[in-house]
Amino acid sequence: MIRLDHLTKRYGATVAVDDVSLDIPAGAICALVGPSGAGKSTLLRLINRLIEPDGGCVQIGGAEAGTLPVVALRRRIGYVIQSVGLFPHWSVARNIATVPRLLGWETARIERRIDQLLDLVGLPPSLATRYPHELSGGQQQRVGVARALAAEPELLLMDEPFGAVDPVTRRTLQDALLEIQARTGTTIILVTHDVDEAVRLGTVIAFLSHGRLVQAASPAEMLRAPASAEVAAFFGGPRLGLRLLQTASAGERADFARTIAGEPVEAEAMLDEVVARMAAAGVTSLPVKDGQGRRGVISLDDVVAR
Amino acid sequence: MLLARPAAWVGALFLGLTFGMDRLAPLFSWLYPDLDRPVYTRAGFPELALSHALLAGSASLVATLIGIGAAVLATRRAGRAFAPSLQALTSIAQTFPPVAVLALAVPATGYGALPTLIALILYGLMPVTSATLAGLASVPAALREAADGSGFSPVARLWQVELPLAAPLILAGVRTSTIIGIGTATIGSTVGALTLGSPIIDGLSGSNPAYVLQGTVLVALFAIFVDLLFGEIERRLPRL
Repeated sequence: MIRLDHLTKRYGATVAVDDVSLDIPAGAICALVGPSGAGKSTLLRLINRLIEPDGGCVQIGGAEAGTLPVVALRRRIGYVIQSVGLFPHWSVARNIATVPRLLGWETARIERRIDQLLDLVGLPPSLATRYPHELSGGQQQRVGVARALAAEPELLLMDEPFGAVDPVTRRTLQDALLEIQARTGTTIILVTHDVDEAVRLGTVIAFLSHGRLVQAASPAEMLRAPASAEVAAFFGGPRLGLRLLQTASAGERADFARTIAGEPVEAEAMLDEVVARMAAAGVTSLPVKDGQGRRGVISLDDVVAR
Repeated sequence: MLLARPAAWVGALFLGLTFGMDRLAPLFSWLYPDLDRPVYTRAGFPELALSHALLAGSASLVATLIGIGAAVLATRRAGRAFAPSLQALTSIAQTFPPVAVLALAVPATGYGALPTLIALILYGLMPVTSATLAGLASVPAALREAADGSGFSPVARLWQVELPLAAPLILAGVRTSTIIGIGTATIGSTVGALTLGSPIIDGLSGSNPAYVLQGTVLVALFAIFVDLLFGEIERRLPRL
């Protein structure tokens, strides 16, 4: 578990992070959101001590981060930034091996790990000997994630990791991240400007404004009961309800006791996709099928039910 | 093959002339029929070339080590306050004419190779220092942040990330510094250092244009040869 305990960071008269306390359970994906200048990136950098706090502390797995040697601490925490920051003079394999080499792993173990990671982030093994400038933006970002995960960190910090790639690639990378997280169980704290990304990826969303933590809740809770007008406006104001459709899947709302004819939607499809299908077909209910081949029905009433 | 590597044939020409200058005596007699001694004999050309190379080479080595060291120090957290004065200092060192540095060094150290060495080092510092400062500044902030975030120690970050990325610019600075040093070493002969400048100085004072020609051609070939060698090394650096 990651515990932020009354964290404060001042720059002169401005308080960048103001008395933030937050518990993030192990295995969670916490999305830090909020307007520009809210202190999201500062908060992230306080966790791996690229910045030292003026007050409060960070606890990682029960140990206080401030008491650990800073270099050793950072080797336990993966770090991914928007500009990726791959070392241009090193091959993909050498980039991924960064932290294991710093930790002094044996060569054979490092090589096995590189193979595993390329597979984990969905890159072909042939890319290992390439250099960063030979890769596409999406591939570079995957290598960045592989590098951050190389030494099996208990925590992964991501500062707008997919901010610089096109929307289609972003979506693919988000799916890849969810899959990686499901396989590794790594706790992730992610800064994002993208509301959809926060709702899609976050198991917890933490909303910051002027350095203060305004609300921390699951996406569904935050969308149902935003703590302030600012939070509600951030998530879409009058259209906030549409985002609520991104927080539940068809399978969670479908009635599997009966079925109807037609092309079924997958049970994993989110409710926004169900509504889109209904609107396109001009109907108010659709058949559903899940992974085990069960069939059911979802109606517009089920979609908007609370 | 040979034409594709100009460093090889310029180097061969330089060595050939250094060791075979005596055999060209008929050529110089024909060019300057009035001269009694058409080829410089006070010291052998191989000896002059070796002494010249040692002087310029050791000065460049020292200037490179001090220059890179100072620039690295000025870009670390502890030495950041020292950076502006370093820039100013090396620029001032460059504005001194080398003859003036020599003249100032002689009363302090006596005649010979030592004042020349001091002048060459001072003169060679500025290109290396400013190139290293520029090279280190060219490393993107995101890379420094990625390195810090990954858990590099400050020394590991310098050796594994910053210096390799700054290497092309640093090498260009060392190249400039070394070429300047080879040229400037020539005037060390005015204060008694043995260099390829000795025949030039003696030729000028003794009205022997053949000596001047011999010294000049060899110094020029030596400088071009070393410059081409640096070019070869630069080509071998990985493209980023």
